[in-house]
Formats: sequence, C-alpha cells, structure tokens
Amino acid sequence: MSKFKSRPLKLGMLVSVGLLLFVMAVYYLGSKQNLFSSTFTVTSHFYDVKGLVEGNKVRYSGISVGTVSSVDIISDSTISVEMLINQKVWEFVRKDSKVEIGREGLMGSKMVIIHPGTPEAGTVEDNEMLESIKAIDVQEIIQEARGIIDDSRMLSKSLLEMSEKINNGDGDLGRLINENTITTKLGQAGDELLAFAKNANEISGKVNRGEGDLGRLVNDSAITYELTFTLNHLKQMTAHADSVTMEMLLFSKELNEGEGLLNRLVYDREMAQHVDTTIVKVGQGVDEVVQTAGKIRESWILNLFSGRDKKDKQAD
Amino acid sequence: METVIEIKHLEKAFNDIPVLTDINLELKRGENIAILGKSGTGKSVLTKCIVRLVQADDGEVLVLGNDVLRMDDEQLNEIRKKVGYLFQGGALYDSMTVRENLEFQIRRTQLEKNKTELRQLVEESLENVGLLDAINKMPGELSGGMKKRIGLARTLILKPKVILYDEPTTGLDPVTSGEISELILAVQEKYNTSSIIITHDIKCAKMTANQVKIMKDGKFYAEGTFSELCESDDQEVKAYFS
Amino acid sequence: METLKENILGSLERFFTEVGSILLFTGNVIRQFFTAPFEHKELLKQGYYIGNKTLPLIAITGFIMGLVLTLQSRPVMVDFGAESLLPGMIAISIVREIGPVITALLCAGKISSGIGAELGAMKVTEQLDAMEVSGAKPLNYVVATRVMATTILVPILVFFADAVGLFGSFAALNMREDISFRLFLSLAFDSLGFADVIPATIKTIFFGFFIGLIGSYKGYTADRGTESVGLSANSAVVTASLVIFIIDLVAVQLSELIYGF
Repeated sequence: MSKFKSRPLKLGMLVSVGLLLFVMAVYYLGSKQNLFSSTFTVTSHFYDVKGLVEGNKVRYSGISVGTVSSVDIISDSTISVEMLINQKVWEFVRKDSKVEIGREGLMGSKMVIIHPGTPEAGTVEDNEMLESIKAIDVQEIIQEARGIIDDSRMLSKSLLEMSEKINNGDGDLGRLINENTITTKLGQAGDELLAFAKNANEISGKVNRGEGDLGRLVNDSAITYELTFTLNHLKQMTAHADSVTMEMLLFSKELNEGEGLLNRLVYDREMAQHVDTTIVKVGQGVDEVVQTAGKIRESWILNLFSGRDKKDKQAD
Repeated sequence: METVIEIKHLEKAFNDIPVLTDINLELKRGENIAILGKSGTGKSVLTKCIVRLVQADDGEVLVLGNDVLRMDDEQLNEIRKKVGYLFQGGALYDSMTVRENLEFQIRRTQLEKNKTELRQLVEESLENVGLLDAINKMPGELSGGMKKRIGLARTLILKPKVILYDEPTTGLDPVTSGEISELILAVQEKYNTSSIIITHDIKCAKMTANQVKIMKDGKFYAEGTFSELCESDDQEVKAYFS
Repeated sequence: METLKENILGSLERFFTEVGSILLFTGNVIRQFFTAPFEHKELLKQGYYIGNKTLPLIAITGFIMGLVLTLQSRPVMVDFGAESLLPGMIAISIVREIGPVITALLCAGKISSGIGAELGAMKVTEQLDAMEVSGAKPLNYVVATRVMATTILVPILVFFADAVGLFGSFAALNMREDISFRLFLSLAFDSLGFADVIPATIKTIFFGFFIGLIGSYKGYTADRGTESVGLSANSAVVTASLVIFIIDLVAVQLSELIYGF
C-alpha cells in the first residue's frame, strides 16, 4: 500500500525541488554572469562613480569582459571600485591601462570601460590598482556646448556691429559702398570707352566702302577675279598629277594580272627592282609637282601682300 | 454445471481501511446471485474487482477460468467483452446519441462488422429492451428508467456470458423497477447468461435471484435462497425482509 | 505547535503527491499519444469545439488588450519623444508575453474548467468506467484527444490573439494621431525577430498541453459525488493558471539562456 502512495510523492518532490533549483540557478547566473568562468580582480579609485552599482558591466575595447563586484566609499573624495574580469582577457589588461566610467547608450545604465594600455608596461597582476580617468559626462558636454553657444552669440553680435558701421559709411569699405563720387568717375570712364568704340566703327566703315589701300584690297572685285583664275590653273595641274597616278595604278594592276611575257617580267626579281626604281622616280616627280605648287602658293601670298604687279607673276 | 465466476479470498483496502475481506463466491452458468447490503459495504467494489476496474490487493478472481487480477491488458479486454456491466445510472455517454452509444461499445471489439450488420445489431439490442424509438435521442432527453434500459441494451450488444448489475432498480418507481426486474429475467432466458445483481431492493432480488447473499462490513454475512433467508432468525437478516 | 507542524508537513506532502500524480498522469497521456488507435475523429471534434468556444472571447480580449496597452504606454513614450517606437514596443510585448499569457489564462478559465467539469461528470456517472469496461481506454479516447486538441489549438489561438491585439493597438494609435496601417505594420514588424516569435510559440505549445492536461487530470481524478464536478472544474482553473505562470517563468529563463536576452 505504502509503495503506491509514496511513488507520486517522491516524484513530485524530486521534480518540484529540481524545478525550483533550476529557476534559482538561472537567476543567479543572470546576475553574476561569471559564475562558472575563472576571474581575476582589479580595483580602481574614482572621485565620482556617477551611479555605478554592483553588477554593472565591465568593457574592454567595447567587449564585455566582467562585472563590477563592489563599490565602496574609502574617503570623502575616493570611491573604490572592484571589478571581476574574465581570465581570458588578463594578458590584454596592462599595468598602464586606464579605467573610465561610461554609459551604455545615452539613457542606459553605467558601466566601467577599460582602455588598453601599452604592451611595454606588462600585464596587470591580480588585485592590482588601475588608474582612473575622469569620464565624459553628458552634463559636462552640455556645459561645453553652452560655452560654444555663448561664443557664437558674441561673434554674431560683433558681425552685426560691423555691418552697421559699413551701412553708416564709416571707414574705407563704408565709403566705397556709400559714396557717389566713385560711381560718377566710373561713368566718365564708360563715356570715353564709348567714344573709342565709335571711332573704331568709323574706321571699319571706311574699309567697307573701299577707301584707302586696305579698303581696296578688301573690296576690289578685279583682284578677286584674278585670284580665281590662278586657283583654276592650280586645279588643272593637280588634275594632271591625278591622271599620272591613275596611269601608274593601271600599269601596276596590269603587271599583277596580265599574262605572258609581261607577267613573267613582273615576277622576275630584276624586273621588279626596275619597277621599284621607276616608282621611286615617279614619287620624286610627284614631290616636284607638289613643290612647284607650293612655290606658286608662296608667290601668290607674296603678291597678295605686295599689292600691285600681280598680273606678271601669276603665269607661274 | 459450469462455473462462470469464482472468487477466492478476495481482499481490498483503500488507504489502509479494509473494504473487502476474504470474499468467496461461485457463480454457475444460468444462475443469478443477488447481493444485498447497506450502502458503503463494498458491493460495488466487489463487482468492479471482477472486471478489474478496481485492482484487488489479494486473492483470486477467476472469470471463465482466467485469473483477472494477473493478466495483461489484451487478455483483460477479451474477458471484458464477455462480461457485461450495467452501471448505476446507465452511464450513457452524454455527448453521443443513443445509437452512437451502442455503436461505441462494439466499434472496438467488432471492427470487422460492416455498416448494415452494425445497424442491425444496434436495432436488435434496442428492441430487446423495447426502446427502438429512442435511437436518435441524446441521453439528456431520457428518463432514469430509459437510461438504464439503454445501458442494458448497450451491454447486451456484445452478447456477454455474464452480466453484472450495479443497483439496477435504484432510484426508480416501483412499476419501472418491476419492469427492469422482468427484463433481467428475460435477458437471462434469451441469452442464457449468468448475473450478479447488486441491490437493496428486496422485490428485485426475490424476482431474479436463485441465490441471495447479504453483505456486511466487507464480508458475506449470510447466504442462501431467498426463501431460506426469509425464514432466518437473525435480526440483521430479518431487517432486510421486513 | 505540534498540530501546526503536522499541518504544514501534511499540506507539503499533499502538494508533492499532487505534483507527482500529475507527472505520472502526464506520462500516461503522452504514452497514449503514440498508442493505437488514433482517434482523429474525436480530435477534430474537440478541436472544433475548443476553437469555436474560445475564439470570440479571445478576439474581444485581444483587441481590448492591444488598445489599452497602447493607450497606457503612449503618454510615457510621448514624454521621451519616442512615439514612433510605440508600435514596435507594443508588438514585442504582445507577441512575447501578453498575447500568450492572456490567451492561455482565458483558455485555462474556459477550456480547462470545461474539460475538468466534463470529465468529472463522466467520472461521477461512471461513464469513464463504462468506457474502460467496453475496451476503449478513456485515457486514449477522452483524455489524449482533448490534450492534443488544446496543444494544437492554443498556439493558433495565441497567433489570432496577437493579430487582433496588434489591430487594437493600431486602433488606439489612430484615435490619438494619424498613422497609416501600413506604417504601423512596418514599424511593428521591424522590431520583431525570430528570437521573439519562436520562444513565444514554443511556450504556447506547452501552455496548450497543460491546459488540456490539468483539466483532464482534475476531472479524471474527481471523487464520486455531484459536488466534486464543480470542485474539479474549479481546481482545474486554479492549477492550470498556476502551471501557466510557472511555465512562463521557466520559458523566459530558458530563452534568456539560449538567445541571451
């Protein structure tokens, strides 16, 4: 009988107590997250911990490495903060590492920040004291910002004064802006420029009407006619040169495609050399034609600028 | 005559308080035993021990030669198919219609039966108790006597060899009680069943029982045929028949 | 003094025995999940019944819950100038905690007590015994189907409550300011991650399981007698609610361990 009764009782006790222990264990784990990992201790002294409490996080370069284990008042100006830090990061905490009190976000709770020191200083020892630096506080930032605002207010005030003076015509800049004499002078200069332009206009008018040498050069139709004639001649000459090249082309084509004796001649090396030299000579001939044409152009330009006796030279 | 149920030295206690002590009983085929007794004397516990609704502490319960107390669930189900049990209030399933109530009883044991056979079986059973009209009613719409009759129909659908009646006439008017008693006899005649009838209704016991046992404090106080007990000089026994 | 000590020990013993019995019962029910026959018809019937019975209740409660929560938290958020965070905050609190717990408590009140009373009545009128005798295991046919139905349905009801709650929150915001439904949804869902939804859903599966189980247990172990029907319904609600909070407590810690918040 008792066997039947005690089985649920035992099971119930086992499970209830187990569940209770689990719940408690997890809560304990939550508050002291370093329960199962080995830790070492460092302390630091602050003037003001700004609301830091036991259980707050300790961060090293932004990584959560431990918790604050105690906050004690040592004297009226010193508060000792003891931190439990994960064994794994021991080697990175140096003797000259600095400790600061910061905030998780703008509204979050406080935490301790450990700034990495220099490797030369060596690794910190257990229970060693680290130097603290004064934390940046939101309150202080606001104070500073207020100073900046005051400064800028002063600046804008003096700027205002300056512009007022300018308006009133005080000083050189003021005069420049405010006095009328300068503009009058500028007006006169403009008038003079206008007269100058008028003269220039007259000159170009004369040229248009063919008055004077320059005018004739520009306006005389006879000169234009002669120039056209010369150009025609030049055109004919280039046409001639063109036909020569054409014939050469036909000739070489026949050489390539023709049959019989001529064809054999082409594929004969000596013959080819002959043809080569011929072509070179032809090239020279073309060059000469080009040079001649060049001379003609030069002489024509000369004629153009010398003005008279153009009829004697144009026959070239 | 063949012995259907044999109980030897049955013991049962709840929380160290004995309910049944040294119960011996033998039920032969075609025989009806009525067990009389006051409330709380362990009559219901005894019948429940027979189908192992209550696990007895000690003793032997042989149903058709098998020891009910020491068998696995499958064997027990086989035995339970052969032993019908009519509960006090009929114990109809409230959420099912009468037809579903009857079908539920056989769906587990005779799944191979097809739908027309199933319907025939249900209707035949209801006809036996004269309540074919109520086939689509919910138990809530039925009177106490009807519930008991349908409970009996549900028991009969499995064609049991033994039927255990747990207070079949309790809470019914005398006329309906008489009808139920007649029904018990009719069933016995038709299917040649044996029964154990738990009751404190003398009329019912007189009508149905071949043998009457009087139970007191977890023991059989007196037993015999109805007329034998009627003539007994024992004050306790006389109290039942006056 | 002695009697006091005995009383305390006695009630402790009763408590532990109860816990143990529930656990043994749980084991039996879970075994029935994997035992033939699988009563899919009864499961569907129970599922439909449970869903149908609780859906309107949960819809109304969910809506009011979202509405009130938003109206109550809004002034604080306005003080911080963080009104735009409000939908996200409400979404997280509804999905992670309030939706599951409120729905589970409502289901404990409605379903658990219903099952407790129903099974209690079946026990008292010997229907469970009759089933047992007929070869159908009531633990399989009656209890396992109900427990399975609540296990499946409560998470669905919770999703539904979450959705209606969010809509209630939107309605509350819309009463006070002008916000489009799309903006609200995007603000709300931006803040939700799998880490919010998955632990909450797993939690609700357990809620559902125990709502069905406690109701069944209380009904199944009811004493004989009409008044025990009421008693089993009543204690089903109380025990189920208590179990819901215990699960919630364990769930929040487990998800904290797993997800780190």
